[in-house]
Amino acid sequence: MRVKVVSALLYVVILTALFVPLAFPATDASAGSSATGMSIISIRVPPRIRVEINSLHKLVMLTPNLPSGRTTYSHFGSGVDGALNVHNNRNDLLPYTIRSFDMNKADRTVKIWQIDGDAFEETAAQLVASRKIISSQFRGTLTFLVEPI
Amino acid sequence: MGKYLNYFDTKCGAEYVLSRILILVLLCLPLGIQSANAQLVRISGMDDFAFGSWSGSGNLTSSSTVCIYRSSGGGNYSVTASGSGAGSSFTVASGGSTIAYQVRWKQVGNSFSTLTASSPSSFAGASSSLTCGGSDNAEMEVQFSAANLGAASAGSYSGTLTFIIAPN
Repeated sequence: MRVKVVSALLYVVILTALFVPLAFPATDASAGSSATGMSIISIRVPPRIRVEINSLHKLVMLTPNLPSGRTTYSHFGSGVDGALNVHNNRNDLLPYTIRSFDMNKADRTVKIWQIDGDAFEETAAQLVASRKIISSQFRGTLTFLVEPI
Repeated sequence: MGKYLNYFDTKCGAEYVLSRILILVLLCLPLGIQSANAQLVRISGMDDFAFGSWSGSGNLTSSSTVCIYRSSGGGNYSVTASGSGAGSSFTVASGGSTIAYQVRWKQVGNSFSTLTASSPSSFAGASSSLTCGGSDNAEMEVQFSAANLGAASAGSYSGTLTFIIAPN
């Protein structure tokens, strides 16, 4: 009888020794298992006012959606990386700068003055004369980002 | 006592025990084969992509390196990415407005490949080390184009990007 018990115990020991090491990896992952990862993506697009530039000397933009309260603002042009320039249909570029602008929430207007119109025209004339650009209509956009503080 | 010894000699001798072990080994062999083929994969080191506020110009790009582990069978694996947009598209949303983005993936040291939503792409270089030896072996990139951002309505957008890694 004792031998039967010993024999049975031997079975249990051998079974445990053989199955236990195999059972855990088989449970954790079978062939073709996959892993999943997850990321949250967040981004904020602030309110902005878009101005079509048709005169570089003076622009007055009426806007109905200026945020109330204190705001911060920044601006960028339609050139590469927000560069301030206008372009014609050959993609010739004319740079410009802004002398000043005023955002008036009382009458909900944005007034923009292009800096030094004479310098701009002189630059344009020189570029045309040197045939680096052709005289034509130049267009661009100027965008103001307005964010509540 | 002699009876017991006799029983042991005839039923539990060395030959008897060895034959039982042989049977058990044969019974367990199929399990052993399955275990040898079992492949664990793991992706670790993922981060969220917080782009903050768009400055108003230029593309917005952010990347993150991760560790891809594969327990056996080489370093090849597939990546299937899905976004939280309609049809698992890569878009973030703010109310009813959405902005599309692009997802790219690469093995560190190689160039990026653009992923298509819900479509597996194959890559190599998975590590057999769970921690990739302390050096991540893959990189993911999320990019918003200036054109898409410029056309978007103002708002705070968010979405979920899910990656499924499988042995290849």
